[in-house]
Amino acid sequence: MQVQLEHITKRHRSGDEELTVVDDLTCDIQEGSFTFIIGPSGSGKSSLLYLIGALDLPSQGRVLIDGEDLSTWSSTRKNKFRREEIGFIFQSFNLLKQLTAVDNVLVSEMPVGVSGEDRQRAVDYLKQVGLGHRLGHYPSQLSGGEQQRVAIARALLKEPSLVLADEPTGELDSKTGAIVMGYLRDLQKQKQTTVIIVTHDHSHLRPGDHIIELHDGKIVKQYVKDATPTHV
Amino acid sequence: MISPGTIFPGMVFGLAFRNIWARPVRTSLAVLGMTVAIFAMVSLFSVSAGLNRVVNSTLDRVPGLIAMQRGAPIPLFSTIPSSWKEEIEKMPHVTTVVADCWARVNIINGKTIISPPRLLCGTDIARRNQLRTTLYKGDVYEGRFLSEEDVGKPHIVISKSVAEEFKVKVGDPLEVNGLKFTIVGLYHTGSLLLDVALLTDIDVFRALTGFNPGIVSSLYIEHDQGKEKASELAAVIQKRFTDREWGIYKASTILTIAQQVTTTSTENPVQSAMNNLDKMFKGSPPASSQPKASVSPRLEMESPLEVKPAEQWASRIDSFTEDLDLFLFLMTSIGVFIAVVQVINTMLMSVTERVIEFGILRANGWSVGNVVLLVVSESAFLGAVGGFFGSAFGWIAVQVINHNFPDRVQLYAGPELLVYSITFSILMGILGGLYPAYWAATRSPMDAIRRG
Ligand SMILES: Nc1ncnc2c1ncn2[C@@H]1O[C@H](COP(=O)(O)OP(=O)(O)OP(=O)(O)O)[C@@H](O)[C@H]1O
Ligand SMILES: [Mg+2]
Repeated sequence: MQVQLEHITKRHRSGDEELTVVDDLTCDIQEGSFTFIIGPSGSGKSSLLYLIGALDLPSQGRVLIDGEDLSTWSSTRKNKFRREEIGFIFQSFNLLKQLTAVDNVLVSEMPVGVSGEDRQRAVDYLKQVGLGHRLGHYPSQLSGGEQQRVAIARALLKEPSLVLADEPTGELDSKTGAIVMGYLRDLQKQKQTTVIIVTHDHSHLRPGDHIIELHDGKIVKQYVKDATPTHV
Repeated sequence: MISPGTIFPGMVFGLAFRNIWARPVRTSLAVLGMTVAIFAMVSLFSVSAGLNRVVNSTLDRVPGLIAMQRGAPIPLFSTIPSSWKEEIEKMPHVTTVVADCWARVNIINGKTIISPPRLLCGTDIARRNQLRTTLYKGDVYEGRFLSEEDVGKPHIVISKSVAEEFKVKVGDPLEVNGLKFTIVGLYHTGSLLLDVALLTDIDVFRALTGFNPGIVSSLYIEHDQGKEKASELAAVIQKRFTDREWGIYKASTILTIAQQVTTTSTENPVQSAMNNLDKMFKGSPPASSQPKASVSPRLEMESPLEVKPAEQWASRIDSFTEDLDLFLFLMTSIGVFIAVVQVINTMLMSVTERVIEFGILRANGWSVGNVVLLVVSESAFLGAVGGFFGSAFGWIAVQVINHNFPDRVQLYAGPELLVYSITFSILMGILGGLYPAYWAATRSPMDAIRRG
């Protein structure tokens, strides 16, 4: 899935002050690319990710998904997009605490009906991320890394064309973080899934990755790792 | 493969169910509120349902026409000339006419009768035995019904409830209003209104009570017309007596009950309605055992005789129970209102704590409608469970009351009332969940997740 951002601006109003969080930002993210959004805290990385995932609307500009303007989509279409095409992985709070690991993986399917086959696939994906022995466990019984892997299994179940991950390894030790990152790389390699990851941790960056560096809502650097940085 | 603690496949409801069990104390309190409200509803409405049932079970046993003095609410207050009976009998389509005289029973075997009321009925035995209707005749379970051999003899047929109250059996003497009878039969109709009658021969009744030989209380008219044509025949009979010199009965007790239910403000209306109903059954207004034709002016073209199928007579009671229902509805709605507010409060507390959950669901493709459905089904569950317990406890209370007061109007919490109460409770649960659901569904998913 290709993502194009055209002059995106996002402003927040708090009292009398208006805060520009994303500032006239333009860029292209190619289908099947592995993209990192990096930058200091408060630079607008998460905000940008939510705009791409249609969880938020830009104040100005257009988000194009495979060439189509997101703002022209009906809410039904957006829901379908989020249900079928996007795998969201957040830094924390990914799971519903009253549901087991399997049911958390199946959350997207609940409104349309969970078949026995879906359930079997959920189990398979949980096994794939190494949680075959944690199927009936509740989030409170899982470690942070295990919870994160449940969220990844949920994203994998959809066989998404776009994965949006907001600091997916932020609360994990480096070893677990590397494992989690590995699953996302496998997905991109095997299914040509577009993966966009917000991170603070530059150690995950690999040659060939697309890097977008933000500062105050603007792109300050955009480059392919190990290629010469291009200044905007 | 089903893992432990799995939810039902494909069901938003399964998740809803999970959510309400996640907070057992809060859920129980909301359910308790609903339970109390529905309990009150079932117990109160069982009173009017019980009244209706008594009336209807009675009507089923009385297929013919009943003729009374205009304005009289029940035969006890009615007086009409005896000669009208012969006249009606000669009319086309009329097959049998039975004349009855009624008097209130004040004392049986030295004991004052207060409640339930008892009525002594002097009946035309020969005619009554010609009826196709098996009322009383067919309800005798011990001894026999009155027959030709009882004409002129102080023989009496009484109901099971009287026999049990006074511990008497067939062959025993029975002193009614100081008059000595011998019991020849026991009957049981099961209808509270019909079981009040103690039946004896009409001539014996007159001789013992001094009831005016020229008048009777009411006539029971059997005919060969179908149910649809019965009203037409009633109108024809009634019209025939339009030009007769005969007064009409003045105070209509039942109508005043209905008025009091809706207008009394200082007194507790249910209590006053009940008192009036009780008075009606006891006949405490001018119910002498020797009624005279009460004379009051009547309209020129109005017949002094009122002839109707039994169910039309009962429509007066129906309109009373309708008023009673309205009143009960207003009473219960206070309780229900409080219960709904409690559901709203519970659900608001719940959704404000679960903003992240809704963010996760929305990010995973749940629509606003899906989230609304989730929250509303949770509150509907609260309503359903409250409705179930309220109805169950209400039903149990009705059984206990009925068991302890077998001679009173039996309260009735039938399947309709129970189903209605549970449905109503679910609807109230849904109503209570709508605003919290709307609130939950319209949070920005992004804000929810950011808040963390
Ligand atoms: N709804 C909002 N209302 C007001 N300000 C907001 C809102 N959402 C985000 N902001 C502000 O926008 C700025 C960018 O936020 P954002 O979460 O995108 O940063 P980030 O780059 O993801 O930071 P971090 O690395 O700390 O997660 C912050 O200063 C934040 O306070
Ligand atoms: Mg962030």
